[in-house]
Amino acid sequence: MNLIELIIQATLLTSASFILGTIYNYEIRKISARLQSRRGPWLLVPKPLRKSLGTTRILQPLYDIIKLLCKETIIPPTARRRLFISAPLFALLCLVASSTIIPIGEYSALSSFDLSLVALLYLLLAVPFTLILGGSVSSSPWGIFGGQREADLMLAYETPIVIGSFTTAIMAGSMSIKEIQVAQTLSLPYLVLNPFAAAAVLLGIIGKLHLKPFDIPEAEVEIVAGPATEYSGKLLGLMEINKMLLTSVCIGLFINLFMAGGAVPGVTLNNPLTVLTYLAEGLIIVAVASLIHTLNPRFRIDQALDWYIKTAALLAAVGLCWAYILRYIYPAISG
Amino acid sequence: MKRSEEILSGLRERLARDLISESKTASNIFFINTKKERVREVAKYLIGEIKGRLAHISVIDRGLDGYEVVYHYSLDHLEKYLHINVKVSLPTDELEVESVSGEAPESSWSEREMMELTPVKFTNHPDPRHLWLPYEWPNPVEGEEPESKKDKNPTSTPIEDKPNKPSLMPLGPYHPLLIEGAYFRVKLQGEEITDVDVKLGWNHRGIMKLFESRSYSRGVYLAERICGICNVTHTTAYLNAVETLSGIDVPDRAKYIRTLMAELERVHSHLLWLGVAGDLIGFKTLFMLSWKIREKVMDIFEATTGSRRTPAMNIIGGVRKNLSGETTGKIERRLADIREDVERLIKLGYDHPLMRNRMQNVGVLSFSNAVSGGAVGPTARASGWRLDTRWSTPYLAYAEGYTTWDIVTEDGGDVWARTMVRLKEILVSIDIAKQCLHSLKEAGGPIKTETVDPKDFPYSEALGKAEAPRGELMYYIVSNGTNIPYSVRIRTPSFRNNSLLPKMLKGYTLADAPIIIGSIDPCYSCTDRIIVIKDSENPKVKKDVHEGFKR
Repeated sequence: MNLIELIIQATLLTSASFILGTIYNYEIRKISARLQSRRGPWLLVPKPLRKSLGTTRILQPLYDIIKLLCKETIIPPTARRRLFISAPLFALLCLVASSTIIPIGEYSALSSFDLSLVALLYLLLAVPFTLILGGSVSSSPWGIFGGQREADLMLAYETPIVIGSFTTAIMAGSMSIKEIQVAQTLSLPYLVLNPFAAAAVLLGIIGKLHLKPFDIPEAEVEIVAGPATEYSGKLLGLMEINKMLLTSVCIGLFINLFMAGGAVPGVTLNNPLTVLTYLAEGLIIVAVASLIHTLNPRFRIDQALDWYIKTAALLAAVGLCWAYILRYIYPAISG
Repeated sequence: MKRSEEILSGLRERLARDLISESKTASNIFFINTKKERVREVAKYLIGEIKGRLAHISVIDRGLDGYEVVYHYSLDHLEKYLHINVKVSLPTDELEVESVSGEAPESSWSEREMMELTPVKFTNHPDPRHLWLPYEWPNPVEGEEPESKKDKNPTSTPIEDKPNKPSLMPLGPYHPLLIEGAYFRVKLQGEEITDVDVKLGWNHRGIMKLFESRSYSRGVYLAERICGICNVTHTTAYLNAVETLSGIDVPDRAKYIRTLMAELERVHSHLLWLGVAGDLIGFKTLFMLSWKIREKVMDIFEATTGSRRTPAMNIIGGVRKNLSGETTGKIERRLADIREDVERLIKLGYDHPLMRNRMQNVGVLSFSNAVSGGAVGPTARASGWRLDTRWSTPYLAYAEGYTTWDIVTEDGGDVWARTMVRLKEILVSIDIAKQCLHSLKEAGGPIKTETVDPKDFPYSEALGKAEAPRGELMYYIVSNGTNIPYSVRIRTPSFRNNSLLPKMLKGYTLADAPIIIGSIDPCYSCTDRIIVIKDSENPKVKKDVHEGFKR
């Protein structure tokens, strides 16, 4: 694989990841709207309105971003200008890098190298740090509070994600995402073999995506918009782009680690159809997440930490033990 | 001997020679004139010994005769209808009277309001800062700011980033917490709230003054516009006072229709509150659910009165519109629907662990704090106090013989208890509404008296009370023989409950602040009064305002 090919692949994967992110975010909006007796963005626009609105509004999150990118950016004079601007940019960089690591179906750019899982987890860990940084240098008390809460919450939700992810590495006997994928096709998806770790990672992802009940760092009635309070215009648009990418990368991580990366009986990993199964699996996971998002109020920060330690971290620990037990009981199907 | 006789004879004994005159207007409402040196003694007796409540303090401008301070003691929770209004006349040259805040802590805000609206001064007040004017305005209201007060309430304090130092956070006046303007200056240690100061007055109104320039029948519509949510209760309270003044007896059918409207309003208001509370704990789905149910109540309003929220049904002497048998049947079916939905909501609340986590043991207001602070409405009832104007001063069709119902109380005193009181009250309200509908089917007769625009009012005064969804609402109207009220004073329920907020907020976290503030169902536009900044030439005001806002 030469460099030009790699760059083209990485660009394509990142854009695909972004489009997937908008679709996932559309789904969250649509499902919560329907459960709340609202309409939400149209999937199929009624005929008389099609001329002005187009056939579908499935890319509504994208249109919102385009609107933000067209607006004026205001940077508070009291903010630390350079850090303030670079925080979302740095997050974007990390997310672009991580979306090249995450394989979509059979297509991947960098997922096969050894330790790609470790690299990905580090890159994902950097995203909350940029939020903390951006909030803290924005000179708004709400931004500082949001950053503080994000720092607290990060410790809680990263624990189950990290433990759960490494559990899969233990089961597959490799730190490469591609090899974890392949190991699942040889035995069974780890969602079936180790549901504890899968649940722990999913709960961690819900926290990372700031879905309810864990949208504490951006609780609007308490601290306005948290780290994003002072961001506006293009920088806010950038933060929204980051959100789309983060959604698709996190969901992609889950699919690749626990659902064999879109491989289902009948569709093997090297089949181009895996892209479709990958999308379908992603939509199912997002549907579960948006159900949780819709049916819950927000935790207080201390309750969230408590809950993460008592439930999600415990689940992750059980999953880790289960992985070891599995190795001894069924050495044939696990790694 | 009746309780009222006992209390009054005790009061007469204490005042002895200083009791200037005594009169009784409506049943069990007494007006007592005394000397200004005795106000604290009266407060000590009526609040400390009798355990009464000081509903409000009104100051009436009597022109050349000086000012009149009226202490409205509500003793209706001891005996039905019992109110003792103690009046003190102040000549124009010595407008000072001693504060009763020591004896009756709940009067603190009333005194602050009156000090601001009138030149009367309450001496020895523990917190004589102004209530409505902005922080930038010099304290006390007139004259120079004492040096000692300056540092206590600085106009702005920079946020310090040193660890372990309390930081000052502004909740409001424009904050996603509430759509209305209110300013909570919150002192935080980490996320814990250590001190709170409430600042009201972001709505510039002038309604009490406007009342004094239009006739009684036109005042009804003005009262209706004080609050968007509880407008029926405002007109009810206003009309209770006006009809007492003019001696009008409302026909039974009108009473039932008025009660029906008031109860429907309570249902809608509590559902609206539940939605807002859901939003305040980040539960958007609850918001959508309860507002969907509320929509059914709005439909009833629209079908019966033609307006979704401002029905304008109440007029002097009766109601504007009759309800046909067909309409009452429709309303009954709709109400059964709403009842089912609300019962499901209550179940959902009890079953939802996260909702309970966020609401239980948060913002606790103990019974003793509720009593000493003068809590009203669901806030008081959630602390275990059986206090309901509909019960203690029965008006319209709440009296015995018309409808049967009971007060809903809870013991917790926390946000959860206040939520449950409101939800259960919806069921009670639907019950009362159903009884009214049943009676409407049978009770015929007129819906209004012959005179709907009375011209002759005696030289008198009257107290009108009603239970708004937020609590006890009080109108005090003074008439002077013309068809225009001489003076109108309004004490809204939020005025009382707002003053209790600092007590509820202390010790909880910033994340709890929205739901605690929301749990009293605050209504600031009812509460706010006029602010007129005429004194722009005053160099001090100018400087502070300009430095504060940099406009």
